[in-house]
Amino acid sequence: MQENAIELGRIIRGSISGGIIAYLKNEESIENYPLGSLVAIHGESHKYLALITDVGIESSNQADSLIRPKVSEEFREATVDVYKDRIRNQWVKLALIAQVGSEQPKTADTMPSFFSILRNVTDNDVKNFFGIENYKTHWNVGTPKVPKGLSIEIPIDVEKLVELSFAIYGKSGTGKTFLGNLLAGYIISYDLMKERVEQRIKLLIFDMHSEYALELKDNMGNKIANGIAYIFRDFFLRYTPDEYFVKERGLKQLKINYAKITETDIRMLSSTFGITETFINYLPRFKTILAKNLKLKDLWIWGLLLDAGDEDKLTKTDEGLYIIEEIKKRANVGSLEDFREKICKIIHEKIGPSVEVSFRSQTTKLKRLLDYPYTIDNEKDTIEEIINNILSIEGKNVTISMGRFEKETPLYMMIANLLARRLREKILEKSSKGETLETKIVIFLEEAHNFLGKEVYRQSPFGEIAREMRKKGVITVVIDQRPSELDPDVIGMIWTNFVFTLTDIDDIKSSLMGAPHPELFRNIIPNLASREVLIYGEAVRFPAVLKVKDYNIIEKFFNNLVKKINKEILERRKSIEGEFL
Amino acid sequence: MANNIRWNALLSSNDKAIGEVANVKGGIFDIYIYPEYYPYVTIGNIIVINSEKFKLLGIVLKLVHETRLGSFTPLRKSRNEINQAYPDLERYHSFVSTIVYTSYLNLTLEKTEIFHRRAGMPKLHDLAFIVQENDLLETFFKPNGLWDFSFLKYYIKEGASTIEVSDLLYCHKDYIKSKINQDRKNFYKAFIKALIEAEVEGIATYMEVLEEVLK
Repeated sequence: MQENAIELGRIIRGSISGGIIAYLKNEESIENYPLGSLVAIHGESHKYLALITDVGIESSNQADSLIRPKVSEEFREATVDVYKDRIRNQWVKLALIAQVGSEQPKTADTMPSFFSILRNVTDNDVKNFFGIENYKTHWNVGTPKVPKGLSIEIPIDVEKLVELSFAIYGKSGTGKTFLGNLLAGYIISYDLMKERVEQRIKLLIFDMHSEYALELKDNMGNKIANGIAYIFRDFFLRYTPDEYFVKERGLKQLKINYAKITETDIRMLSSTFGITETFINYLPRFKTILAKNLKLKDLWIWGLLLDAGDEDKLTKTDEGLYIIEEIKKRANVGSLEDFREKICKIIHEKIGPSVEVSFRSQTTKLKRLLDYPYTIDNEKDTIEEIINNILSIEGKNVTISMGRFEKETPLYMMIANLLARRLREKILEKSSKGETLETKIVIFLEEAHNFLGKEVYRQSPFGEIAREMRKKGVITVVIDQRPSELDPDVIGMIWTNFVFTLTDIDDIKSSLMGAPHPELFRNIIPNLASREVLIYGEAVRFPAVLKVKDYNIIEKFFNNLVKKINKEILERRKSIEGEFL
Repeated sequence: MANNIRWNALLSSNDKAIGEVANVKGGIFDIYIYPEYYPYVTIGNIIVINSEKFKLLGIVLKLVHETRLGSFTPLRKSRNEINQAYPDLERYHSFVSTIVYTSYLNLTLEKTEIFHRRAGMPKLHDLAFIVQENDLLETFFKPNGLWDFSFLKYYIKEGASTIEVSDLLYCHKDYIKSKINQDRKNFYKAFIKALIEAEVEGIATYMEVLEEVLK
C-alpha cells in the first residue's frame, strides 16, 4: 500500500507526443523504475498520471575516469558517490496518460509545467483515475507496476469490454490463456450478477489446448488451476472432437458433418495443406462433377478424399461402411478404385489432362481429413446444437476443446468455420424475420490469424462475422501471438487491447495501433515480464501496465460464486416445488 | 579558542614573516620573500597574509628568483665561494613567490574559521607567513571539522596543473597521512568534489597523483 506521495524527481523537458523527461532525485536508485511503471506528476493546476516508457543515465565524460586510474577500491567507491551527486543524472521518459484538475480524470491534453514534481502514485490516485471494483460492472484484473513495487488493483469495466471486440496479444507462455480464462470468468460473473436481464451473454470459446474446458497448465504441462468452463461447468456445454476426452473427462463428442463442408472451407485450408492455386480455382468445377455428374450430392467432398487405399480404414466403423456403400450406390461403381478412376476420367474429359494430374496430386494432401472425427448423420450434427445453445437465452455457454487434436490446425479451422458460417446464417435468418438476438455472443478465438489474417479475412466466415455481426451482438475476442498477421481491418475493430510481451517489431506496431502516441509504448512491450500486460482501450479508463491477478486466487472467488448461485437455484426450485406439491 | 591563540601567535611575530605583499593582481599575489626564508618556501606552501580585516590565505604557485639590476653576470663559482666573495649579493636579487588567493581566516569570530572563498584584498607590504603547524593546517584542510578541498578551484583556475597540485599534496603529505585514516572515504570525496567544482579535465590523473602521494 502506498499512501503517501513521495517526491521522486522533477520534470525537465519533453512534449506530450514525444514523451516527457524527468530527472530523478540523486538518492533514488534507477533500478527501482521498471518500464511500464505508473507515476504521478504534480503540476501547477493538474495532477497527471504517466507511464515510464524508458529510463537511462547520463553523465559527463569525467565518468570515464572511474575505469582508468589505478587507485584503491575505496577511492573508486568514494568517487562514484561524488559522481552520483555531481555529474550523473538518472532520467525517466514518461508517456502522459491522464490528468485531473477541477474536472474529472480525462486523457491528458496538457503538459505539466517545467520542474513539476514527479511522485509515486498513491492508492488514492489509482482509485481516482481507474475506479474501484464493484463486483457488478468493474472487476479487478491486476496490479499496476509502480516504482519500488506494486500498487492496488485496477478494475476493467466488463460492461464496456463486451460492447465491442477485444484482443489479447502476446508470445506463447506469457499468460494469454490465464487472462482469457479470467476475463471469461468475469464476463460470466457479470452476466450472472446483472440485476436486469434483457439479454444474456453467451460465450463460445475455441479452446485449442483445452485450458478453458479442463485445466490450465504450466509450460511443463502440469495442472495449475481449473479452467473457467470447468469451474462454471453447470453453465457450459463442453465439446471436443477427442473421443478420449469424451470417455475420460466427461466432455461432449463433437463430430464434423462432412456433408456441410463447402468449397470455402477447402479454400481456407489450402495454405495449411499446401494445396495449389490451380486446384482451388477448379474446385467449383470439381464440385459440380462430383455432386452432379457422379450424383454424390451432399457427399461430394468424399470424391476428393477417397481412393482404393481407404477402403480398409473406412470399413472399421459403421459410419465409414455406410459412406462407402452410399458412394458406390450413388456413383454406380463397384469399388473405391473404380470410383477414383471414374472421377479422374470425367475430369480428364471435361476439363483436361493437366487438371486431372493436378486433381490426382492435390487430393492426396486432403487425406488428413479422414483421420478427423466426422459424420454424415445430420442427427449427430453438434454444430447445430452449439448454435442453438448460444442463441438461446436459456442456453449454455460453449467450449470447443481440441484435446489430442490441439496441433491439428485444419480441424480447428474447419470446426470454427462451420460454426461461424452456421451462426451467421442463423443470425441473418432471425434478422430477416425482424427478430433481435436474445443473447450477446462473445467468441473467444485462439490463433485468430487463421481466420482473420490478411489473406483469409475477406473469405473466412469469421471475417464476415467480425465485419457484419458486431451490431447484431456478436463480438470477437481475438487471441493471437502474431498480431501483425491479422488484417488491419480486424485490428481497427478492436476496442480494448491486452498486450503481453511481443518481440517482433511488426507485431508490436500492430498491437499498438489503437494506442495514443503508440511510439511511446513501443519500448514497454518487449520488456514485459511474464503475466505483465499493457491494457488500453474502452474497458479501462487509461492505459496501464498490470501484473495480472493471480488466477488461483480468483478461482476461489469463482468457485464460491458458483456455489452461491447453485444454492439459490436449488432454493428457488424447492420453493417452486413447494408451491405445486 | 586554542586555534585563535595559535593563529595570533603566528601573525603577531614579525620575525616569523617570510615576506610581504609586493603585488596584487586579482586572485594572484606576489610575495616578496625575505632572502633568508627563500630556501624554506616551496610550491604548495600555504601562506597567510596579515592584512587588516581578514587574514587572507593562498597557496604558492610559482617561485621566482631574479636579479634586480635587470642583467645577469655569470660568476663561475661554487655557492660557498659566492657567499664568501659577495656576502650581500642577495640584496641585489629579488625572491618572489606567486601565491593564489584561495581563502580567508576570520579571527574576529569566537570560533576561528577559514572560508575557502575570497574576502577583501591585501595591501602592499602586508606581512606573509607560512602555515606549517598541524593545528593550523587542520583549520585550513578541515574547516568545520570536515575535509574541504574547495580551495583547489582557485588554485587550478589560476594556473595550477596536476604538477602543482601534486606538489601541494606532497608539501602536506605528513599532515594528510596523519589524519586521513580517520575518514579516508570523506577525504577522497572532498578531493573529487573539489576537482569537479574546478571543472578539471582528466580527473583520473589527479586521482593517480593523490594515490601516489598517499603511498
